[in-house]
Amino acid sequence: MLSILVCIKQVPDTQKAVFDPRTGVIDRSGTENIMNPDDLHALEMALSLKDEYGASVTAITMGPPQAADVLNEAHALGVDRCVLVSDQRFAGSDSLVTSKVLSRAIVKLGAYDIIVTGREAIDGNTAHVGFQLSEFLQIPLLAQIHKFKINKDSAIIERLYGHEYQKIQVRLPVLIVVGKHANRVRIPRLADIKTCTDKKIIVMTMNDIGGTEEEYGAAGSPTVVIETEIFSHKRGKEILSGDMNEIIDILVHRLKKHNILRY
Amino acid sequence: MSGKQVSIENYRDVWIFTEIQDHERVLEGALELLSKGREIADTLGVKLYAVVFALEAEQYLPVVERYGPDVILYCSDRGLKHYDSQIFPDIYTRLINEYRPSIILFPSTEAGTDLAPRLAQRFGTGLTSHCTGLSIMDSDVYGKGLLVMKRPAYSGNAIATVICPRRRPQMATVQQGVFDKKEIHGRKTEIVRLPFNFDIDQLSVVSLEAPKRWDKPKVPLEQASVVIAGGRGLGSKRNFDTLFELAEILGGEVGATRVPVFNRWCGEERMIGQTGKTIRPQLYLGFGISGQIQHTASIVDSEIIVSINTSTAAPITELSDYVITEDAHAILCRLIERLKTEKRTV
Ligand SMILES: Cc1cc2nc3c(=O)[nH]c(=O)nc-3n(C[C@H](O)[C@H](O)[C@H](O)COP(=O)(O)OP(=O)(O)OC[C@H]3O[C@@H](n4cnc5c(N)ncnc54)[C@H](O)[C@@H]3O)c2cc1C
Ligand SMILES: Nc1ncnc2c1ncn2[C@@H]1O[C@H](COP(=O)(O)O)[C@@H](O)[C@H]1O
Repeated sequence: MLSILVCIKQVPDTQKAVFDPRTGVIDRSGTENIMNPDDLHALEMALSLKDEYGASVTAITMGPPQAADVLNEAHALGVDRCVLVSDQRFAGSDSLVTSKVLSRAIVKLGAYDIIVTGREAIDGNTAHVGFQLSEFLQIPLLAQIHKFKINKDSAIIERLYGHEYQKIQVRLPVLIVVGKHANRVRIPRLADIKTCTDKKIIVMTMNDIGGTEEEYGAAGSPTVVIETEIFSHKRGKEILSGDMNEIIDILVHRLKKHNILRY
Repeated sequence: MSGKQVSIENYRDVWIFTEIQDHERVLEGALELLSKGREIADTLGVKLYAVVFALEAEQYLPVVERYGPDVILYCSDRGLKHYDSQIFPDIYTRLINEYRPSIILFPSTEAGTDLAPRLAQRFGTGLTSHCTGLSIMDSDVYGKGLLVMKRPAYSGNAIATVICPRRRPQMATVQQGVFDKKEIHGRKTEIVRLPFNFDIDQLSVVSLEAPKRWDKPKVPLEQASVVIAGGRGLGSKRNFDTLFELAEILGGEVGATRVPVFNRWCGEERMIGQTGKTIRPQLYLGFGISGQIQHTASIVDSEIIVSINTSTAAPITELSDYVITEDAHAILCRLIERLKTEKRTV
């Protein structure tokens, strides 16, 4: 049977986020946490492959203990196995170290055919992790997919890439990066939601994945964030009023003033 | 990891991934980065390298030269016609080990955002994505001549400042349209041709066929001097289509928020914002757009912003030079009518 791994992340809901106006840092206690939106599409990709070809689907997340929430959610959607990679020593990891941790955990979990990640996480918006995982694991990565078929030990993929649509053949194992356009996310059944918190979650720490403390967390991360500030862009806001014709008159006049209309 | 452990002092120069777009032109964003890279290299007193991989790469070199690199490293081969996520990273890895650049800048294109994280992994170094500001700083704590990278964070609600103090190369991807391109005359450029040595047979991804896209702007949005953008407030594809008429008259391009793109009123290449393009036109006209930060963070460098929205409370009004509180489609039709008669009478 196919083995599919899906990387999911718990993120603050940046659309409703509360910020400290002085430092620009997100107030985590006042902001709700959700499953990263792209990762719902990643899960959907895995689950629809399971529906079509039969597969065992594992959801894996790296994060603090409360990140188990997104694993429970994944369970409700139909995932077979959940893995929480969690350790104090991972705190402050940048995208490179996150990829390192995930890749090592994945190797420990055994053989797999397909790994699915979201395109980007809405808190960092780096879109690095998929690419860096594929480098750590030395497997091909494909993004911008809208069709994915499996044929024996290969995948046939259709995607929009750069200036063109492509049809591609690639041997498994493969990593696919999934964004919002790939599919429509399913709704879990109520019965599943009720029972999902009873499911067992496998927890892995640094001791399980190996490596040393200096390789992980802020200490192992090459990037350092030295400042964060809140963003504001106010302008003149001249209100053009009158009836439609008057408004158009003023607008055309202003555009001429700015040398945009030259006749 | 294939990056050798070399002390960071041995890394010196500034490199630009000089991307060739649609195998027919040097990407505008790459020229912008060459200009920014020139500034950074001069501040640091090091050399600026343009790295060009393409089919028949020679044809692009005169254009690249005008943006002032000290050295052009180029490689020309059929295997380089399109960006390839197996070939490009391998050749770059070899070159970086050989030349040891301290800074590498990539446009935030599909190719740039594929190549950069792969190289960052191979060299165990940091990467800052979608930067909107780059400068150099000296710090007592972190060291001298560091690249300071500013980028939007939390879906554009904040700006984070990031450095990569202990590892090299320092790497950033940069949104197109963020920096100005500037030609430089009378600089001597050394041109180095590299051999293409990649075994095509070892490719694990095989391409089967390639049909075409359905809706493609004539000019990339980043380069348009007038952008007529539409949002949900236009209400329908039919109304949205009227934007093209105005674009025609003003010599501009049509852009969109995420809503029309999702509704298939237009193609994805027209999306402006955090997940789309960053634009810097002379004129931005926003029809029926509320102005969520994910959209507006990428329009703020427009010279003039005009918004047409039935609600006076829409956030876009705050960053507009001119605000029109009317139905978007009605204003659109009137404006077209008006400009047509004006043109006729001149
Ligand atoms: C991670 C993430 C990334 C995103 N990236 C992007 C991105 O790159 N680009 C992007 O655009 N969005 C992006 N979004 C979505 C963004 O948050 C907004 O949802 C989107 O920009 C809103 O588009 P809109 O202004 O067209 O629609 P709405 O927010 O629904 O606004 C419609 C506006 O039209 C006005 N209106 C209604 N009727 C009329 C009328 N008859 N005449 C005039 N005005 C009218 C309304 O008052 C309203 O202000 C992203 C979101 C997330 C979470
Ligand atoms: N801590 C994490 N745990 C599991 N998956 C992650 C984590 N961080 C990132 N990912 C995956 O990588 C994708 C891209 O994230 P990013 O590179 O942070 O924008 C996400 O959509 C997830 O699929």
